Amino acid sequence: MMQISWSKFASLQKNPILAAGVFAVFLIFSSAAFAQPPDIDINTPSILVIKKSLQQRFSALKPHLDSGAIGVSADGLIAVRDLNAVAVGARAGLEILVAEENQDRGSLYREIARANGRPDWESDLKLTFGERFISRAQSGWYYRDSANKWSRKP
Amino acid sequence: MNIVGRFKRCYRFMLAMLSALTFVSAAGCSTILFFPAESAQKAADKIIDDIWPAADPAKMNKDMKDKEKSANPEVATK
Repeated sequence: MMQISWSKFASLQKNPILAAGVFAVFLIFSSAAFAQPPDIDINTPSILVIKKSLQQRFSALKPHLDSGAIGVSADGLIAVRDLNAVAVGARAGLEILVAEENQDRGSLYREIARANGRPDWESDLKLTFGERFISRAQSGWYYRDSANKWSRKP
Repeated sequence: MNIVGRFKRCYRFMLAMLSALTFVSAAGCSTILFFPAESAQKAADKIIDDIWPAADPAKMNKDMKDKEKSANPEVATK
């Protein structure tokens, strides 16, 4: 049977610095439990509505992403890259499509930040999503980096 | 121990406690204040999976297989 060494407790009582140290170690380890980064909530009804809208628009955007007329941007939005890749009559339609997509994406970032109680995260979310959109873009799609330089995904 | 000695010990103890609590509070606050980049990346990936179903070739193949299975369950089980 394990014997409790009361002399150690007594020494803690006698040495307040040691006691404080032990207490600090206890606090540090217990704080590790709540120090985990929180998961970001993306399942609120309004986020799901925006996501659905983005999902539905993707089929219309994809041919333009494939042709290089538009590309993904590091700021988490999409941008027109080369209108010459689109028939003259379809250019206005494409610009409207891009504007609607960007409006939804802006709402998405704002809503995620708001849903997580941190409206100040919006700009960080935009950059994080921008980085992920570029990273996940298909081969052959164009992307615009933070220096406004267009490149093609290999 | 005289009163001065007790006061000194108590003072040292309080000082050590205060520094420990400051350290722990700083650690706690830093996790609350800083942007959780890793969680944000995971969230972004989840959303991209949903809105760009065909952008990921592996997922596209899986979606195609799932569609085939749902369209023709007998073939899928063979």
